[in-house]
Parts: sequence; structure tokens; C-alpha cells
Amino acid sequence: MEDGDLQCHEIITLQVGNYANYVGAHFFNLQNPERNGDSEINPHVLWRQVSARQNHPRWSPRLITFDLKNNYFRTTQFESTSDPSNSLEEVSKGVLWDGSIQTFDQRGSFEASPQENNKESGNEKDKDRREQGGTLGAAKSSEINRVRGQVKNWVDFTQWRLHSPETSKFSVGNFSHNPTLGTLSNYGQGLQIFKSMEETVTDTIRRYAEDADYFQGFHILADQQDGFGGIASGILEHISDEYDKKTSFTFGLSSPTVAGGKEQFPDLMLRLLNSSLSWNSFSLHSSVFSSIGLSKNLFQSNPEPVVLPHVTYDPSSSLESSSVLAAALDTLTSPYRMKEPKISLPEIVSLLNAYGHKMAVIGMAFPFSLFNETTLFDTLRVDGLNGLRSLTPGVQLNLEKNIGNFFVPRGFRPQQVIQRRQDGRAEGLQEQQGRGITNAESCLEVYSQETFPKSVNVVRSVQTPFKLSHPFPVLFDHKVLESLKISGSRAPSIVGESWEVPTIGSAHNSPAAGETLQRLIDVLDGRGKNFLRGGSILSENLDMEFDDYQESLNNLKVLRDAYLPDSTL
Amino acid sequence: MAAINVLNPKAEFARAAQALAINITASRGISEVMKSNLGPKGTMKMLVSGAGDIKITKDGNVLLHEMQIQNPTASLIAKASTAQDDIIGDGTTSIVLLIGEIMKQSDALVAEGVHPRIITDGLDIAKEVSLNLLESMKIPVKLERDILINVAKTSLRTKVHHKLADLLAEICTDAVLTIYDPAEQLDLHMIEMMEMQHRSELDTSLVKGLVMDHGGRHPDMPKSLSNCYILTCNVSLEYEKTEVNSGFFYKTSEEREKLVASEREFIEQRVKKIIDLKRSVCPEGSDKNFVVINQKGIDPLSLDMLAKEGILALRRAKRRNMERLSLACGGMAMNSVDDLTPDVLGYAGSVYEHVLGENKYTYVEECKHPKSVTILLKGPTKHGIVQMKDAIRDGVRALFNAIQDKCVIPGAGAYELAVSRKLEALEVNTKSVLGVRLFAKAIQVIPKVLATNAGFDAQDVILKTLQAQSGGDFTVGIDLDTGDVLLPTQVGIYDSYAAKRQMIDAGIVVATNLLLTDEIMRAGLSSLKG
Repeated sequence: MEDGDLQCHEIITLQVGNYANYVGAHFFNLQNPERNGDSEINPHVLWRQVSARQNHPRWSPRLITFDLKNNYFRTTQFESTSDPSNSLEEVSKGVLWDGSIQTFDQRGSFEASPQENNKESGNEKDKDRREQGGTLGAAKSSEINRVRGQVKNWVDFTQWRLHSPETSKFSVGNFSHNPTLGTLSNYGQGLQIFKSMEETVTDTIRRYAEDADYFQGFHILADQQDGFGGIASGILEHISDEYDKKTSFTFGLSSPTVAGGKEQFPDLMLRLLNSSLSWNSFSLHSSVFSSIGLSKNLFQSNPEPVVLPHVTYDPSSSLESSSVLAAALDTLTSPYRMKEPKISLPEIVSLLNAYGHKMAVIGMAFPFSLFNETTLFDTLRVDGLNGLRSLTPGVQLNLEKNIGNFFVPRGFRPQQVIQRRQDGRAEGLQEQQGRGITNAESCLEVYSQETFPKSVNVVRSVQTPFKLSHPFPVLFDHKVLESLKISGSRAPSIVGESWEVPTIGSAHNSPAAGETLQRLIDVLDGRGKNFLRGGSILSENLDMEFDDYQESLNNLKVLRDAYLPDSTL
Repeated sequence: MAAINVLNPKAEFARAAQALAINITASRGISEVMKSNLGPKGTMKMLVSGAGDIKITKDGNVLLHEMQIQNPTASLIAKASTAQDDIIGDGTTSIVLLIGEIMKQSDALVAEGVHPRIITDGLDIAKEVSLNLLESMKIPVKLERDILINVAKTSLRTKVHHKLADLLAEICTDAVLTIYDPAEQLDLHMIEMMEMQHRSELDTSLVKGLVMDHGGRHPDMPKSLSNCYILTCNVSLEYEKTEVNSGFFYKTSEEREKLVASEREFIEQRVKKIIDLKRSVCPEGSDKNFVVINQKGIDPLSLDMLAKEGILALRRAKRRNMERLSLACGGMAMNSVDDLTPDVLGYAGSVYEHVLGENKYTYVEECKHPKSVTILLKGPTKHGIVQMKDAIRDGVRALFNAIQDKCVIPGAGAYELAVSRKLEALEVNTKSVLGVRLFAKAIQVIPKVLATNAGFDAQDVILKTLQAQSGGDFTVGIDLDTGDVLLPTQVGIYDSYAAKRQMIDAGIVVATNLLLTDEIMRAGLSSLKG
């Protein structure tokens, strides 16, 4: 589909697994063109307009999802996709349960006063007021608790719909595999399940591809630690075969972990086996992949969660941790989703996978905090990119050692880049102009060029800020709120309002990925060897052949070797 | 303490009579469930999945696949009978019922103190006799449309409504006969099924050619063409930004622009070659037309060039369809446009587009010697279409079997009753006679259930037919409309030879295994995660 001269380079997204669907649900919530209005982002890249009516264009993501059958079942009617025509009266007619009703009208932009935007029935209002008597943080956290309480699964908070769910939604019958647990726990099973649904899956991909005029590639979000890795592998194999010239960017997700949880050694080994098999397939069949998640270390039981500056989230909650990852992906992918794309997906990928480094590292500063009216320029001069956190578990961002760094500064207003004095003269103007700094892009470009001279640094900025709105369940600390000029006197309900924060997303071609691979190989070669007991456990319990596993481990070793210092020179 | 406990104290087990009891209950359970669905008069089951999806069916195979079976014995039976379906396409329910009945009858005998081994020995004798009888009841089949339609009808009537079954039977038969080539093995994959949610089930039709679920992507492309040359190819006609030509490897942007332009030029050359071929086979003023069907993409610029020439071009055709296209229309699928000659082109008398809501369909029809056909399934609801799809699959299999075996067996319970009568009369001088007689009783379950499902008294009907058979004419079956006897060959009720053979075979093998089980234990390696 084209908008005038606008060429859009379509991307098909695949969400494989429950946690992948959580991330994807947030990801598409953030971008929903039905809500975001006109911006420099071109919705056609990831979305498809499904009804031609001018006033009410309906959009549906170019998306194929895979999950267990039961997870598609909406558990609550949580804030159903808002239909402005639904007045409170009409809604109450259809209510089947007792108790008060609360509806939220999201038509208004965030400037509208929250009182107008909130139609509440009496009881609820009083209760809310009482809760809002506390600090702002408390008010927001009560809101989040409400979301938390109502969300049992990702379908509960998605605000978009698939246009033809019967073809693009694939459910895995959980009973036929692990009836006792109702999960899909291992790679081999996943692979088998893919074989059984291969024809319909490939046909759906083909249908989306046929629809696309300038089809660019795939985003694959996959749970790497369970059997869905196997399904993703099957899909990737098909993609690399059938769409060999297209780019595929795979994100292997690690679902949230609980520090001090009950994970036992066999669980850990199973998780690592699945990861290693998935990584092997991701590296063989996708253009580049990255492992992302909010754990510090994947290679031990019950790993600690990553602590993010200025952000409070519950690391054990899929709902909240996935939103952080979705924010990172949203920022990172925005440069090639623009109406005038500043870079294309294949270009980014070619930076990330140079030298056969198929495993990329992803980082994020969310939010990139500019406190006390400081500027990007000053913050970089003082702190550098310290706010940037790695989202690839077990990897430290060691920027100067990286081969390629790709940065996406997003939503920096001009005055947030360079300080201007009262008289209008910019501070240190000479210096800044001398280096050609005019906006966030050039600012970060100059900084990275000077600080990481050995790396190829690519910076593409996006003006449209990251918009955080209901039901995005992350809490910021008071410093961020202050910098957003959200004062305690005003009690916001997140609904109908959106906060804009500057963010930086990044992706790196980094030798650190090789270290992660090395650690995985060490664990599997060490403790894993005993555990596998000569492979009998694989064939008997995991539907895998030992030879296949050996081969995949060898492939990972080859991939690791690509990261060794002498091979890059 | 059982011996197994010495080896593995955690093992769960059940022994001897207890084990047999478990097997018997399970097999009776599963056959009770399936019972009501047997035969043309059987009723339906509605399966509701966890997500609320609904499937209404009486196809035994579908039921067993969709039902949540946890009991190990029941799932063993389910696996055995669905394996039958994979090969033969029919008779799943019969096997389940037969196994259930053998187990039920054995229950009484074992309770009287008969050792299961005696029963199974008898079953073996019964099996041999039944199979011999089957051979003698064969009716040889030539490739006659009438008989084949009857074969398909018999199978289809057990799955869908009569009126629909008769229509589908004709469609299946015509489809099979079109693709049948005596010199080659019949390949059922050459019958494609295409779903279209539209009109009613009775509008389902056979297209002697192909229907694809996409159309031309350019507004100026022709919507309907006749006398068409068809070029099938797997050649990328879109400019693809490869990773290698990305910006970071070029010193200047001009250098890169240059590469991009030359890549684009390259694609244009390909399109031009296709256009050249078109011009050579369809000279100005001729009534010939040209259609390109490509497995790879075609970008808007290339589409534009093709549209200007009046060429209809489809992109990203299914891989499966590429193969079928050359079978249906002739010609060859090309992987490059370098050596295009008129020989590689296929031909179709008519190619037209049909728009249905948001979906476009392209029909490729009037092919000269189609070796591949498409059954166009229509129906207002999804579940109706799925039901038909399952039914057609079975109908086509039944025809396949009849053609392969070159024979059919009279249906309507005639064979089962004949087996029963023969075994009753069989003289066996050992204790195994118990097993033989048991099977004679057990196999009556099929006609009995058929009669019950049609609303007649089973005993009544069985008696009537057995009496009629005693006249010596073995091919007497049950008329499910009247409850009287009929001659299946006269009304055209034929069962598949392979299905019957498999039923006797698999039924007895599984029942034997279950009967001889003296201990059930759950002592496998404790898996990692269940």
C-alpha cells in the first residue's frame, strides 16, 4: 500500500510464545495508529489498513502469533478497545456482574483535564480520590495495581486486533504435549509442532508477503527458553529458504525470572538447552539475532533482575517486564519505520552482523533522564552514556570495544540538546557550532565519534517522542516525574493521558556477545555433560537427537570463534 | 510388594485382573463415546476448545484427534485407529467399536476363569477365517464412474448430510478420474482444496485447473483473459535491498546510488525478457493473452511495466501451486528468465479474477490435459467448510483404495454379518472355540450400532438379516431407512476393501495386546518437566 510517493518497506512480525506475545502486545499498543494520529512514523511498515473508510481507518498489525490455546482466552474485559460511542449508560446495560462500573474515554488528548476525561460512577470516584490523597507515585501505583489485578494474560491488555485471527493466530493445543503441566517445555516438541502446522503457517506468511509492495523483512520475537524456540526455529528455517533475500531480525526473549525462586537445576539445564538450540537456529537462519531479557545472568538458577535507573518495575511480572522490552524495541525500530526512513532494516542489520557476528547486543536508556534542565550535550559531557543499560542478559555495554554502535536518540526537543542562555546565546556556542552540533543526532554522533573512535557509529534520531500511556505499567521515580513537569498538585489518571519521555535505544555489534556464547558453551560442556548422561535424556525426554544437539553446540562454537579478537582483524 | 518396586520404589502399577479391568473399562469407555457417531445415521459431536472454537463432526478420526484423551489405554486405541485413517481414510470408528466390543465380551469370559490366552488364540483363528471370507466377497471394480460414485457416496454419507454427500461424491469421483493416469501411481496431492466462505455448501464445485487465493496487484491489469499462455516462474522481480549493498560499505553516497541504479536496471532487464516472450507468442491483433505467475515478489514498478503490456501477473504464488500449475496447464516452472522459449509456457483457456469481499481469487480454467484439479469448497460458515474438507479427504481416499485394490466389499453391515454367521458355524475342537465365538458376537457390534443409530431395534434387525443370510446369499445388508434387509450391491453401498481388512487386522491385534497385558506400570524415567 502506498501513500502518494511514500514507499513503505513492509515488515512482518512474528510473535512466538507467551512472553513474546506480552512484549508484542505492548509494542503494538505503543504504536497503534488508531490512537497516535499523524506523526513522522509511517504506520504502514508494521500495520495494514484493513478498512478503507476515511473517517475511521482500522488498522491491524502485519502479525502472526503463536501461543498455547488457553492463553488466547480473554480472562477479563479489561478496558476493552475503546469505542467512543459507548456511553456509560450503554455500557451498563450490557454489564452482567454486580458492582460499579468505570469507563474511560480516550478521545481527548492529554491536554484535556483529567476530570473531564474520567467518567466515573460515584462510588468508584470517591474511592479513587481517597487513594489519590497520597503522593503522585502512590496514585499511579494504585492505577498500576488495578491493571495488574485485571491482567491475567497478554490478550487482556492488547488494544489492537488482528484482522483475520483465524489465519494469523496459531494455537498450540497444550493438552496433547504436557498434559500435567500444560506447557510447551522443550525445543524438540516445538519443532514437531511446527511441522504439524507448517503448511498453514507458511501460507499465512506468504499471504502477508503477497500483500506487501516493498517487502523488507521480518521481526521475530520468540521465547528462547522453552519449546516455542523450536517453533521459531522451524519458521526461521522456512523464511531463510523462501525469503532468502529478505532481512530477518530475531529477538530471543527470556521470560521474567524470580530471584530466590524455585528453579531447580534440571529446570535451568532445560532452559539452557532450549536457549542453545534456539540460538543455533537463530544464528543460522536469521540475518541477526539478539537475546533480550531483564535478567542479569542467564546461566544460573533464579537469576537477579536488572536494575534500571529511574524505573520501578516488578521483575517477576510478565506484564511489567515485557513493557520495558517493548519500549526498547519501539525506540530501536523507529528509524526505519519513519515516513522518510533514515535507514533501512537491512542497513542496520549489516552493521550488526558484520564479520559474521550474528548475535547483537541491545541497549536502552529509558528514560534518558535530563534533570534540572540539563541538556543532552551536558549530560554526555559529564556522564557519557552511563544511563544506557544492556538488555542482553549477562552482557556489559563496553561501547569503546564494539565494532559497531547504532544509536537512536528519540524525542529530544531542540532546547534539550543545547543549552541557551537567557539572552538567547547558546552556552558554549562556539564549541558546539564548531563541531556542527545542531540536534540530538549530530550531538550524539560527535560524542560517539570522539569517545568510541574505533567503532563504526551510526546515529539516527527520531523526533516523535516515546509516548507512554495507559496501559503501560511502568513507574518512574520522582526525578523523572519532576523533569516531565508533572507536579504533585495535579493528580493524573494515566488513562487518557500520555507522558512523553526522551529515550535512547541502541544496538551493538559487540565482542561481548562472544563472551556470552562462551559462558553458555562452558556450562553445557561442563555441568551439562553430566546432566545429559550421554544424550539419553535428550532422545527420551526432549524429543531430540543427541547428534543434532552436538551439531548445534558446534555451530555455536563456530559463532563464538567469529568474535575472537584475531578473527575480526 | 511387586517386583517392580524393588527396581523402582516410586513406580505405579496395576496387576493381573486389575490391569485387565483397567484396559477393559478404558476400551469400553472410548467405544461408548464413539458409538453414536457410526454410519450414515450417526449423530454429531460438538467439540469446544479451550478458546471457545467450535467443531461439529462425526468423523471418528477428527474426534479422536481433537478429544483430550488421557487414559493410556484409550489413547493407545485412539492411536491405532487414527493410524488406520492416515493410510486408508475411513473406518476409524469401526475399529474403536470392534476393540471395545471384543474387550466387553472378554470381560465375561475372563470373569468365568478363562485365561486370556485362550481367547486370543481363538481370535487368531477368527482373524484368518474373516480375512479369507473378505477375499471371497470382493467385487472387482473397473474404472466406471457409476460404481466409483457409489463408493464415494458410501464413505461420504457417514460424514455429511445426504444431499451434500451425493454432490461431493460426484465431485470426488470426477476429480480422481481427471487426474488418474493408468501408467502412474495416483497422487492425491494433485487434488487441491480451496476454501471460500461464500454461498452454501451445495455450491461446492470442481475446477479442472487451479484456483489461487490472490489476484493481480495492479489496478490496470486485466481481470479476465481467454486463450492464455501461462508462464510460471520463480524469479525475483523486485528490487531487494540486500545487506551487502548497505551504506556503510561505500565511501560516497554516489557510489551507492550507482549500485542501487544498476540493481534496479538488472530487475528491469528481467521484466523486459518476459515482455519480449509475450510479444513473440502473442503478436499484435491476435486473441492470445499472457499470464505470469511468480513464486517470488514483483514490485510496483515491475507490475507497472507488465500491466502496460496487458499481462496479468501474480506474485508470491504458493510453492505447492507452482508444481500444480505446470501439471494443470503444461509448461515448465522457470527459475531464470535467461532462456525463455515458447515451450516453457503452459496454456489455459480462461483465466479470470473473482473478488469476494476483501479477498481476490484467480481461476485458471479450461486447461487442456489437467493432471491437477481443485475442489472449491464453499459454505457460509467456517466449521461447515472444515467438515466438508475432512469428508472430501475421506471420500477421495475411499476412491483411491477402490482403484488401488481394484475391488470393493458390499457395505451396509453385510460383511460383518457374514463373518459372524461363518464363525458361529465354524467347527473348532479346542478351547479356542471360545475366542472364535466371542469374535462372532463382537463383530456384530457394527451392524447393531448402525441399526441403533438409525432408530431401529438392533436385535430385531440382526435377526432379520441373519435369517435372510441363512438362505446362502451372503451379501445381505441392513436398510437403514426401513430397518429391513437389502442387497447392498443393488443399491450401491460399497465399503472399501482395505478399510475392512485393516479393521479386522488392527482390531484383533490391539485387542490381543490389551487382553494379554498382565501388569500396567508407570515407571518410565521421570521426565524433566513432565
